[in-house]
Amino acid sequence: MSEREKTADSGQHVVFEDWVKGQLGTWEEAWKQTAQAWQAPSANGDPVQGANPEEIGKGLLNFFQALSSIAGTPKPGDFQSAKSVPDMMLKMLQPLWGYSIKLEKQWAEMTGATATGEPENMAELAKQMTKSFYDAQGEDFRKILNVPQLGLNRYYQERFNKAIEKASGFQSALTEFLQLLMIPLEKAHYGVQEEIAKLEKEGKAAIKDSKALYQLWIQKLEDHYMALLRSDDYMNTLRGTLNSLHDYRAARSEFFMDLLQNLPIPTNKEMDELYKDLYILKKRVKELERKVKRDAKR
Amino acid sequence: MQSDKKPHLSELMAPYVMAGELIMARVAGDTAKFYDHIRKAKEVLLSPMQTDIAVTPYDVVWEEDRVKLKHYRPRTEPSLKTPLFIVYAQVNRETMLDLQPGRSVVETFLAAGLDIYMLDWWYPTRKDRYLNLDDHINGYIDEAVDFILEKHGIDQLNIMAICQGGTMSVMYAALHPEKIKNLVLTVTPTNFDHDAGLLNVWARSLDPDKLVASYGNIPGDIMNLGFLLLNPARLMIDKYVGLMENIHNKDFVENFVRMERWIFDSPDLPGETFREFIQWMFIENRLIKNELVLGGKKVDLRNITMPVLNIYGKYDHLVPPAACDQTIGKIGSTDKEDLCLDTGHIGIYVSSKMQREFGPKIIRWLTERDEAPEPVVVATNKNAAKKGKAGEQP
Repeated sequence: MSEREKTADSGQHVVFEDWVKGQLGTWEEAWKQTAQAWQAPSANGDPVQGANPEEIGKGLLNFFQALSSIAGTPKPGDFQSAKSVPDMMLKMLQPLWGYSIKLEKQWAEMTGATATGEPENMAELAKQMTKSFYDAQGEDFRKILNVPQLGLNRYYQERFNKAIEKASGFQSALTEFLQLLMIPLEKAHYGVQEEIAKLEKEGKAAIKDSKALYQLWIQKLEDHYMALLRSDDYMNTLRGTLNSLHDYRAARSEFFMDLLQNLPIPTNKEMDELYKDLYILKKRVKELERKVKRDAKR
Repeated sequence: MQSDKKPHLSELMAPYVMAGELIMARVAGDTAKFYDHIRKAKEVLLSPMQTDIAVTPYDVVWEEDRVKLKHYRPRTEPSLKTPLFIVYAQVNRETMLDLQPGRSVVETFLAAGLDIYMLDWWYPTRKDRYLNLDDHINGYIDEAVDFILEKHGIDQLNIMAICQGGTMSVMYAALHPEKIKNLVLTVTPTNFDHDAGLLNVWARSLDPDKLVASYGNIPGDIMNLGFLLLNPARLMIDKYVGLMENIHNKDFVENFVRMERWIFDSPDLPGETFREFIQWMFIENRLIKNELVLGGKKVDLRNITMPVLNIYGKYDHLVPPAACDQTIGKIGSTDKEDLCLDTGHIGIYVSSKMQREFGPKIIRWLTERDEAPEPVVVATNKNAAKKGKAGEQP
């Protein structure tokens, strides 16, 4: 091994050790924060019910350690000659991690949402952000869009404004729908942690094989999706999303009709009318053909 | 302090990071295997692959508008006197019955000497948005049946139907029982008033008028998205993790790609047909209650008096047993059989196990009834039946 390689080797070890320490520190910190959050009284002053936070925290730590052990001992080398999965993953994750930290700062600065300490999960945070955005839009933006229009262009402007308003309404509903679909991912995450904590508490061996961990997670994910997809919350959100999609498409169609009428292009409405005429005519012709056949057989 | 409670973004992102790590760990396995896996995967993906579907030769013998009738070229002398007419659903395509050599219902039937015709609904375009259930059942299906009967100089044929094609064939059989000798229903829903499948739960809360007004024809991609959402964990994650795990296995990859090609080959559904199907079937459950009227005639299930074989899957999440298991009790046939197989909606046609059970069972059942005298034929909609004369069959 050349001096340069040795240096690179040593550098890799240092980076990886730092990374592992950092990750463990993050998990420990998360454990402490989770414990504090769980121990803190709820808004009405009642203690929060649920699993022992210390146990969950331990489970969380065990989970990460289990993953680390599954991944194996790091070896030196760059991406091409990497001998271990964590080594490679480290390289792959570095730019992503850097980006996520940057994103987090921007996000926090933009919304101030994390400073409140309110959101308990990513889906909730996203919901709060989009809700505040669209609520603000509803109060201010929609008022502007609905200012009465006057004069010769009145109807055109109204249809344009309506299309914008409905597009915004659909975006809002779609975002809410997609956020709903994120919830099972988060529940599965906590479910796996609880399972690990439970095994630890019962003195059973922790799950050491990646396939078993994955199976546990995917099963929990499936269960949470099944519960969500049958819930009233999901049905109402789905219905709301489809209704707003319909409103948006109808408004968009009206707006485009105005544009197309000034061009030598038939509008959707005109084409549909034409197709309906064609459909009725074909149906009549077919009935006549059958009648002729029947009469010919007699 | 307030700042102590502040959740870190990494904490909020933990569920998603964990999901990625678990998938990665599952796919990668241990390090030595991982690199071997990648090397083999590269070999497989860069090598020529056989992923064509529906390769059994056929001729298009009849066409009306977009709808075509395929006639599969026989490999042997026909073993049955009565040809078999296959009616597939309008959701996805009939190519699933001929997915690949060795896993093809069509191939199994041809090898047994069945003379097979199959309806291909093809891809509806905008001009088809006004076509309704009556147009498809009393129009296309009936015209295709008449074509086959005339070509063979016979009065009756066998029908095998699949899923929504089965529901339409049940309606057809109730309206035109005199044209059907034997009816084989596979994964065919007739009862929609149950909560066994998510599809039913969702469909009942849809507003079909709004969807049709928005889209005209309902896009196949929208329906496919709905099917994927029936089980996102398995269909959008686990399935592809399974592919990554087996990506070094050429046979597995080829089969996987064939299935993907079939699944996402989704024609749009004519708007009016969709509207009527959702409203009349899923929301009002008219068929099983004998309350459906098509082309001015009541669809009375008691008019179905020909022999009926009703096959469905125990683990079918799209058309669960609860959707299929009332049919036999509601029809007028005396020769009728329910068969619930240990499989799912698609597995019934493509799984290796079902290749040995499903196709051969249908062949045996049809063969046993090929020489039989003409079955009971219903003359009116009032369930007044008369016996056909023995030996009248051509």
